[in-house]
Amino acid sequence: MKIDTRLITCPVCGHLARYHANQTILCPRCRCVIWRSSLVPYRLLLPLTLTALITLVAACFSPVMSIDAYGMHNAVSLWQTVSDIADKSGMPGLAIGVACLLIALPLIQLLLLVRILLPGRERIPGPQFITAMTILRWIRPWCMTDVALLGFAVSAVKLSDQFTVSAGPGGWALAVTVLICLVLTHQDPRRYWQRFPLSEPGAQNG
Amino acid sequence: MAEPLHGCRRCGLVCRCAIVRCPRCQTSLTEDIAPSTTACRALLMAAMMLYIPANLLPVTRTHIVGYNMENTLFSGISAFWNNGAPGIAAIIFIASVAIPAMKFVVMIFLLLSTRRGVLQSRRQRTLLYHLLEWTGYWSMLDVVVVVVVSGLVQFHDLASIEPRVGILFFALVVVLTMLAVLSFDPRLIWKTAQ
Repeated sequence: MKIDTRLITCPVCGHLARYHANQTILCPRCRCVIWRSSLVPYRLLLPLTLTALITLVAACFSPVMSIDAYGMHNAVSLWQTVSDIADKSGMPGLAIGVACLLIALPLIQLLLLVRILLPGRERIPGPQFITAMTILRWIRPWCMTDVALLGFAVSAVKLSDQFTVSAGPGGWALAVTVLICLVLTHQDPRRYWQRFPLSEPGAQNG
Repeated sequence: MAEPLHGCRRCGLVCRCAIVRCPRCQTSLTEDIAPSTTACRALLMAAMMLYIPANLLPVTRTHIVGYNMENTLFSGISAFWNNGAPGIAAIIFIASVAIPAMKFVVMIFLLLSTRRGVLQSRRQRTLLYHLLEWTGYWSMLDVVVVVVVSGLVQFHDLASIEPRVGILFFALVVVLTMLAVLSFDPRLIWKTAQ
């Protein structure tokens, strides 16, 4: 068996292309992104993931947004938004769905990333690593923290003509989570696989 | 060398070997493309049917001292438009009405063209597919807005906003369309090219 580290496979059409780690390449045949380069150093990814975990939990439990009217003050955290729906709308399905998309799946995504990024000494990926990568690929399209942030922003505009709207600490935490998640989901998942080059040191390129 | 050159589509590894599984991610290297688009067609059909009640049934009920009002998706957009916020009206219109409808059309086009084995504009169709994948989940915006607004506006008898069943249908449309798009394998577009 001979590994060719100068080549990479197109995920869509299977075309083999020459690549360099610091250069994004498009498939010459189907124009899909074969390899997306990133300016973020690999060793920064784990601290970023941990930060996003902390800020996401903060956004769940501290008020993201508050409104004042009739001498009353209402503030909701991410978690309260979801539990309110379950309580009064009589649509538990909607509450569970929203809770998954906005809270549960983003949390799982970050936890899996922590597992994937944790340094280890293995030469080839273990079954746990492979499972983590598989689940990560499945849940990736369902993590909607950025939609949540924009949703809060649109709601703020919608309510601002009748109520006094203000952002709470949870809102800033959510914004930080979204920024970090953007950086993390921009990473080519193959970057995590490439932690295992499978070839002799020195034979690597890029 | 006699051994064939294999490329793994999942982790990208290229190796000269006689084995059938990728030595790195254990994906089968000789894996055949699932030739079926049945799941995709069924999910798309379900999404299109639910799109009708999603647009016709009320999504929220507003109660402000003295008056009760039920809003559909469309009446919310026209309210923004008339109140001098055309930008927001446009964002919501694009995200919740135009994009779902456009996704149906594009998905039907992709299904028909792969079924007939059309060879032209495969690149453009692949791009179109990735565009669908990428824009898909922004349609969820409207659901989040309804959830947030009804969570915030809770002033007992003075003012309250409640979600209504229309938003559930709308959320289902978005989820089913996303599932339909994800269950379509873009490699089908390239199947005949190999």
